[in-house]
Amino acid sequence: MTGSELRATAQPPATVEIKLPGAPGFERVARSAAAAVAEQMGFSPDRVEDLKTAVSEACLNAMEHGNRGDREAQIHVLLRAEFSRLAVMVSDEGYQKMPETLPEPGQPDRTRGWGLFFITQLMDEVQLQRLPDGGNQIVMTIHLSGAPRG
Amino acid sequence: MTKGTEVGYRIEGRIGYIDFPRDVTAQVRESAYQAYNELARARVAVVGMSFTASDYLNSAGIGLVISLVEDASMAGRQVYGFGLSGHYRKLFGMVGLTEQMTLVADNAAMLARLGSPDGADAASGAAGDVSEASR
Repeated sequence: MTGSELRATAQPPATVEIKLPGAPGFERVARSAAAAVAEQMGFSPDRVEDLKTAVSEACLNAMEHGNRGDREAQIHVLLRAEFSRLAVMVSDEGYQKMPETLPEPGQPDRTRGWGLFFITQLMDEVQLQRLPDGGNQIVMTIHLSGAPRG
Repeated sequence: MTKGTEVGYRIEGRIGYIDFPRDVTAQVRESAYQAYNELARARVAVVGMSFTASDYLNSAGIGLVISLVEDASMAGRQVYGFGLSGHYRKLFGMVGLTEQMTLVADNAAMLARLGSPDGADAASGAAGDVSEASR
């Protein structure tokens, strides 16, 4: 059994909930919180970096698309630490519907459209869903046993 | 020069440096284009992108780097990037940037490359050359 597994199994499930203003820059708060939880669970530094990028991009997508840049609209971030995995749920107001299928990366040109691509490449599991209240939610999960992605 | 939150530039011989700030996001787009345009006006043969001060690049910031690298490549300039962490080097690879620019550890490593037989021509002004390392 590795040190990571020992630390992970010694901790009970835990939940951290964050509400962010919808202004670019506040994604740093979610990113730092996710990194702190992941480090405490024993994720490797490489995986923590993967997670930080995925959380940032999910929050930025929620701000730019789901909330259509409305700085008054909030982003809801839920971190759920379980014994061998960390799930991060990012929800927005759903002003613009999340695509049902993942768009091609680097569209409409190579300088844009990489956010969801990074998320799907860096996380072990990704789900996009529409919430009953009309908001969008992305659920991203990484496993302690997973290797760095990409 | 950089104001801490903006992209700066400097020219040393035939090398034009773009100094990225701590956060490389959509917010630095304007200063990045201004910096690059100054280097283009000076007709530098080599563009050295310094990420030494950067600890956060998001997808919009990486998209910005793509646009600068594409323009520089089309103009026949060699493009180097240095100061990136392993994580961001990985992301640059994912979006294909490593096919258009050469990533090295630091400025000294870039200068060492340029001092090699392949790099010396570009450093002395052959703007159309593309080094083996950046293909």
